Amino acid sequence: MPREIVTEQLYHRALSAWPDERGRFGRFGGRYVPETLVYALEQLTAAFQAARNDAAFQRELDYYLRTYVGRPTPLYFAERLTRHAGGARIYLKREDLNHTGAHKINNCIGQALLTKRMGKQRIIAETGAGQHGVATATAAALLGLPCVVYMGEEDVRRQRLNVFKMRLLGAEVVAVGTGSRTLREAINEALRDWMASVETTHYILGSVVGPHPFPWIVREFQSVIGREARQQALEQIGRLPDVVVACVGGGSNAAGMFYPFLEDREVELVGVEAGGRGRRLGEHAATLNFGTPGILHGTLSYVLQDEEGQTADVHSISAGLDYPGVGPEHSFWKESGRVRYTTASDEEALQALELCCRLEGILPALETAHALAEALRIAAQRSPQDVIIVCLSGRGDKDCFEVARLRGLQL
Amino acid sequence: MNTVTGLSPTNPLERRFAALRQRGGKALITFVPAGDPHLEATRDLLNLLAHNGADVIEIGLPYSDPIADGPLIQGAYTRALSRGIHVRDVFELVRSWSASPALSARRLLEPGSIADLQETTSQMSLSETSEGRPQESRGASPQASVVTVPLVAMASYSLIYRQTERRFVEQCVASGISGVIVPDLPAEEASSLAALCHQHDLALIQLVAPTTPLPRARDIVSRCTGFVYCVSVVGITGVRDHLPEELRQRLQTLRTLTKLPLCVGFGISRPEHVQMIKPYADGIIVGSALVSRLAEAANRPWEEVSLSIGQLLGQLRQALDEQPTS
Repeated sequence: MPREIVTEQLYHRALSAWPDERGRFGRFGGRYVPETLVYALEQLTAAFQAARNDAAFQRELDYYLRTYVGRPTPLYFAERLTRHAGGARIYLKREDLNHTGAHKINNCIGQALLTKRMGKQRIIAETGAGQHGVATATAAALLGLPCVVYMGEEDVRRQRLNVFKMRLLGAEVVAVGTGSRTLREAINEALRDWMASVETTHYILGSVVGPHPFPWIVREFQSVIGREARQQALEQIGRLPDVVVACVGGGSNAAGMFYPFLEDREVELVGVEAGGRGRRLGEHAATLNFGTPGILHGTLSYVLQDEEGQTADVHSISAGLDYPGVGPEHSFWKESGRVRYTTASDEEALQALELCCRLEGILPALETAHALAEALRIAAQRSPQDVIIVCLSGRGDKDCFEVARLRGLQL
Repeated sequence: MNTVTGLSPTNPLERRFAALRQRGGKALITFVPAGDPHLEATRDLLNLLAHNGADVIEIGLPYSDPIADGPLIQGAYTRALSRGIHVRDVFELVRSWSASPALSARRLLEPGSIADLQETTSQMSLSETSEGRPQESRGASPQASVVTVPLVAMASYSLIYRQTERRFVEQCVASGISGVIVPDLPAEEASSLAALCHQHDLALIQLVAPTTPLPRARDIVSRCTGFVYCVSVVGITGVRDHLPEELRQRLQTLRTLTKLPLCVGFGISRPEHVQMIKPYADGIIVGSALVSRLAEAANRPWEEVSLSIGQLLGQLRQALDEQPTS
């Protein structure tokens, strides 16, 4: 019997029917936070629940997604990449064409509207690659809310273009110099800000991580990606895809892409983590591939940590995947067997990025390039009748400096 | 259980709070981040605190991502971890310290050691002892009457989950720890740990925050043992100039919900804070004010650092013990 069926019998609940009222996805998820935050999380859960069922809120969200973000994004047949791989047909779900250049804005518009609905007057966020920071600063500008973005010093260096953009958009960017000086530390700092400001401030978490209800809220706002892709596949190809591929750091674009396909059991779902430069702890950010269940940033999920529970250092060329945790729902999907999680290395991602530029005229983000690398591998092994959809989660303009540096060039 | 703390009458935390309640005293609870600047310093510090009026010592297990703590305590943990200190080393230290209080007391009284510098404060605590402060003498060492100070472990749930709740609780018990605080484990996620703690007569001290609604506070205190950790302000740990006026109101409300000792923490650093809180609480918790002095150990001789910690404790102790003048 397939493992996912066993899981459903174990929990008496369909895979798509999570989280439960305690914020659990199977045994994962929950809320491991200081007492100070519990009330705010309960408030947020109630506000989101009400907004979800409120037609006026949905209309407003749709309005901004359509007229401001530019949705629906196209499903594009990548003919030359397909020919290059020599097998299955590769389609790209073009989230890079969203306003601000990535899928992150889907969630930010939703949560910013939620902020207004809750009557809170200030927004904070964390950011790794800077895409979520830019998207949050954008949504804050759109709705006239002050915004503070926490970003690790190491990421500020790697992503200075996005830092400049956030400041142009009126956000205050706080460089975090403690600990790992990357996304993980930025989340710690944002949570600390929120501990002190929770009565007036909403924290727009950018991925499907953190305490309940964040993994649920972010997945819901990002599911527009998969809903559109599914509909577009039916209309343009006449059937569902055979394989859907997305990159996984915290896992927000993958969660949004996979969720609407969960009950289509014939569709294979593949998440691609950052394989970095090796398999040893500290050389990669492949949490689901090499981690163990543990607690990080308020949730129970797979974590890269040492034998005592201290969070490990991670590495990826992609700042957006450089995270030692992963969304609890992904841990659940992994354990259920519904989604397969694999890795692409730094070098494979770089090559896929260059290939996509030359063959398709599309510069993908380094994060996205990990998904492309795996999609090319799968396509090569499949027949031309098969269809693969890749979530092209973001564009790579922000990565130009880093790619040039890695290739020994000076910009 | 019909005791002050909900623990057995022999639990050191219960003995301490029962004795305090009997004589109307207030608890001075101190926080030490283990391993900063190194483990031997932590051992010295445990001695120093035990002999300078601390009623309870919380020992913080270093964790890489402590979201409830401010930069001071995170800094201490980061320094400890970067020196390669492991949680098992901390348990070993605590075990050996609590197993040989006489030895630690002798260490303090060795000439030329930090004992010289703390003589004044040690004398102060001894004189308090003669006034009837609770003490247990194990009599091994003739020159020191040894005060057994209950230890409470402060641990992020990540550390506990990794080694399993059962092993964590067993290690605490084996190390002579009397209670645990898990700042990132809200009451609704704590039922299995609470059951284990109950089974081993270990306190599971719960936090009540300013943002905690009343019905929830009622539920939390009903699951709490040891004492109730009342968070003074919305925010993270750290040193503060002012404490909010609502705190008084909140403590009075909490008092109607529970008979457990109410101890106030987050931002307590000055005798004025103590004066304000004292009438409404059973104790205060001092963390960051102590850790900020500890952080100076990088640039100052350890003797000076321990002296300044001793002085801080002396001031707070005095503020706690003073009778109202009116």
